[in-house]
Amino acid sequence: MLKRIYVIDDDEISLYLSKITVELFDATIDCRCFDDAHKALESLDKDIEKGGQPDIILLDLNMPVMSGFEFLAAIKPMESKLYNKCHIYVLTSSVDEHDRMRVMESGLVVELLQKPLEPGKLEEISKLLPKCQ
Amino acid sequence: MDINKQLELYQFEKLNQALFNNHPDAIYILDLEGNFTMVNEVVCQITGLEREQIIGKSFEPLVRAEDLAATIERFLMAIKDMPQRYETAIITKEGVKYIDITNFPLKVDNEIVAIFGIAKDITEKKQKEHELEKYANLLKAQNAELEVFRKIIAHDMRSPVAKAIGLARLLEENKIPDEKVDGVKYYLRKTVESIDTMVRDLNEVISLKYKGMEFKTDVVINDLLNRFVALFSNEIKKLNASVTIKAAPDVSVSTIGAYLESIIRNLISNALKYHARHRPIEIVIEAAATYDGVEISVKDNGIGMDLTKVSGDIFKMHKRFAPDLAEGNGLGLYIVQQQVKLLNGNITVESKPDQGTTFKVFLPR
Repeated sequence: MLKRIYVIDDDEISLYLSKITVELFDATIDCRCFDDAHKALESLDKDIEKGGQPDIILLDLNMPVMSGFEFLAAIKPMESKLYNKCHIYVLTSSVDEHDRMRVMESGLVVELLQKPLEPGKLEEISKLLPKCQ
Repeated sequence: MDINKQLELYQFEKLNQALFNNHPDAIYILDLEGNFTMVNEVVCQITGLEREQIIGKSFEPLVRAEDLAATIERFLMAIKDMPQRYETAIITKEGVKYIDITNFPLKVDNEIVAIFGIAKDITEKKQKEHELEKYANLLKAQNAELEVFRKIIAHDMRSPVAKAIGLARLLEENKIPDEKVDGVKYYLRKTVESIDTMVRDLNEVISLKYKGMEFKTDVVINDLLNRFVALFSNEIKKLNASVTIKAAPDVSVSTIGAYLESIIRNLISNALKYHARHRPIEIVIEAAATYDGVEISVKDNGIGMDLTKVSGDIFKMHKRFAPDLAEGNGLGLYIVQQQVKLLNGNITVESKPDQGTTFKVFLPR
């Protein structure tokens, strides 16, 4: 069961799309949108402290200021705390094979998904998650 | 000497003479100081000099300055009993000629008494080599650009396409709450329009490469600026922007009108796009004559940028610095720079974050 999802993407339309897709899948999910990966990091820190880390992070790659790759590097120190609790799905429009390989180097990334996010995928993801904690 | 032996010697001498005189390449002998002691006819043909001008003189004045040191080095090695094969260049009345030289020592009783030289004129071959190199470099540059196009297609173009697909699917499935439908339709239209802009820009960039020399005409800058501001009048009104033109009516430049128009159009569009949200937009366009040309500047009070972070990238393709605003695809400034280059001008930028940006374009007279 998915309780909290972070969506990190610099593009407002992409954020809107992801948010609506999540709402249509399950309106009870707390879906938080961040247009800046820095803000997402701050929020993540606070949520981890309260024991309320997101179950899923949908992460875009191509962002100015802080890219998806930089975000993955920044959360490496938290990997042990988040392992098996927070699953990252890189959601990108990129069809570049190099990106896929780089991204899988992070221990928290489950899969690289291509935009647009499909509701069927959300269903699949929620089934893969361990039972509600 | 036996008569047969004498005959043999005679044939051999004749053979040598024939070789020396009829060989298509230059054949010569140098003494140990590097002076010509014997030359065949071809030496005179290649150098354009008479036999009397060559015999007894050193080879050094013939050699092109930048090749002299290396050529002397080769000669010295030949004297030390090391045959040499190398390329060098000589200056003749017909200009520079490239030659392929073989030097080897002539020994009598195991003592080196002179140096043989065989020189082949490879000027034509060298010119073909230069052209090949030129084309190879051109190909490398074009491949580099192709790689950029590939990245644009893989990243920049796919992005709005993915968004459009997502939005269209949502509308098709009819599951969007009523109050949000208009929002989705609006986003879909904006997204598809941005794809259109990207396709057009890409096309413009590619066709820039194939434009031949267009005609130059005298362009009165003031008229051109006023025309373009009028073109943007709708957007200017909507954004409540004030656009001021400061250009004396007599400032003109002989240039390719279409390119200059495209440059101005892109710079004005940029200034309008990257405006600061919390203050009224002010754009000032100036044009002034300099002693060797014309300088046009477009200054805005928009969001600006941190040049220490972006300076080299700003004119490169597909770099966006404020992607949450408008549908930027990053090709505009690349096009501007290419066009300025085609007009033999240059473009500079000054900017500070949140204080605005000034682009200055210089065009020679």
